[in-house]
Amino acid sequence: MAGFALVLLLAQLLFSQAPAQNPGGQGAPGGGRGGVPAPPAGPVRRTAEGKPDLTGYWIGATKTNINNGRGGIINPDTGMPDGKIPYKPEWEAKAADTAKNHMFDEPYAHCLPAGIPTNLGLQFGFQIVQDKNTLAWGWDTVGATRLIYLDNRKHVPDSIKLYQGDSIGHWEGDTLVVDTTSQTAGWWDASGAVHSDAVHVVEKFTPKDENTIAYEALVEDPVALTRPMTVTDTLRRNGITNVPLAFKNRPTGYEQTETACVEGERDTALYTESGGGFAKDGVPGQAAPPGAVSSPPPRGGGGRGRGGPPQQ
Amino acid sequence: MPDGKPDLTGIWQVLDLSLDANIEPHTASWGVHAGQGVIIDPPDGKIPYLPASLAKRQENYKNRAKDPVAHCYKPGVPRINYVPFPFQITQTPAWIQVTYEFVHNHRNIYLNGSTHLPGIDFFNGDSRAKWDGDTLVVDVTNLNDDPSLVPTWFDASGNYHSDALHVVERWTRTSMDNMTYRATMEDPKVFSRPWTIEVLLYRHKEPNFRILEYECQIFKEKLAREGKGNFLRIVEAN
Repeated sequence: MAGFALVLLLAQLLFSQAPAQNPGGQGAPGGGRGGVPAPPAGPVRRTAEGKPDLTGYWIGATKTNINNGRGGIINPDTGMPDGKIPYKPEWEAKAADTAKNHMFDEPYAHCLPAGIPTNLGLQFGFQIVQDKNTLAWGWDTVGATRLIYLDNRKHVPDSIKLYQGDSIGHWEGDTLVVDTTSQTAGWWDASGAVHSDAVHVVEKFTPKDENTIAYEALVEDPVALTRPMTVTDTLRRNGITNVPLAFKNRPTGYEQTETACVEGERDTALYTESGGGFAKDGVPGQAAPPGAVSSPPPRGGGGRGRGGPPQQ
Repeated sequence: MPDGKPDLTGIWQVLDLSLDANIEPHTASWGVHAGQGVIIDPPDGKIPYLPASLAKRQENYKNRAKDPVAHCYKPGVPRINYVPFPFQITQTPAWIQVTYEFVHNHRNIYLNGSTHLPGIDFFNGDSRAKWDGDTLVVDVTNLNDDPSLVPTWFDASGNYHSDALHVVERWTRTSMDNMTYRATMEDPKVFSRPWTIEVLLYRHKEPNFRILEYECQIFKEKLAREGKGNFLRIVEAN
């Protein structure tokens, strides 16, 4: 993953295995890769006010390419989650061109938050801390954050553009409904599925038990799409199985650690000029202008730019 | 709060915008208003450097274009609480997330009785807290000083620390609209004695106020692409 944290890398060296992944892999039910079955899930946890309490660590299916039939897009003809992005022809072409020629613009490579719902499909999951007025989110990937305000406030003006958008939520029974506006133009995945800044997203989070949330996002983009699309996923509580060694014997269990993306970022220097970056073609990392990145000499994993030059 | 503890939630920010430039008493300079600093101990308001460390600090000052925050890096603790950007506290009995507008920094403060994580350094440290009466006391360790990663500074003037830094924060909400933030710094490799800052935080009361975004790195990158690669903070022009 591009923009991967150096500090997290260091942390991972201390782990006996990868950090807690989507338990059982994409869509697989139950236990972790290590063969340890997940404990049976109890009822939905609740706050003092009686609302579902989403506080904790969560992870969805990893969606590096939401247009491959496994991205959770509902096919309106069949109702199955095997649909494709209903792009207008010119945006279909734009996405193809992005994938071919502009991978340097991938938001992760610049340590930018991925936006909504893209951020739900990232590999390493996220945390939610919920109080009466706010759900505060934090991602492992680029250490992104999101705040969902629950106090019926109005949206910021559309002229303000935000990588994560402006999110306002309310409860409909046990379902958290979140309306997100003001997103910048961005990507719906890591494969160049671009969208415009007219995107408007309404998400529904419906907890099924203490470890499972049904997720559905209605995504409108009248600039890029012929019709709205619905993206679905199942969010599972993270850090139950496959807990990294650093947390395994701690009574308090798994924690999501700090990701220092900007600080460790070298992808922008590694991307070639033909890919839109600084480096001379064929000479990775040799042509970054002074100050483009204040980077130390490569050590450990070096840059990890998806679509960048091969790593040494 | 429902658990009977003080409610620290809200969106907070420092009013003294010169602190990010210099936490010691200072006269005005280009882009920085004069300020009395925030060091309440020692009484002279200055950081009690060891002699060799003071020389290093003066060298940092000369090279203050290298201020990590000017390069969009994580400010570290305590600086992250007085950079001129708002932050929001979301509070549960066992776990607090502090969400900062500055480059989507966020801190986890655990109140679940857990101990510090062994063997891993973080730019913003590892924070474990307990209540002392109405004050949230946060013990912050594991602060990074790896020179290859650009260690954090206390301000843009080059005031610095080593990896031995241990910070104890004391958060006390003194009224609906104010929070007193104290932090005591201990670092025997750099300082001759512990020292303490006290910063007054104000609650944002503007209707509809919220945490927005400052994705600093994208501006830095743009300058680099325009050939202004060695981009500098305004303080350096002084």
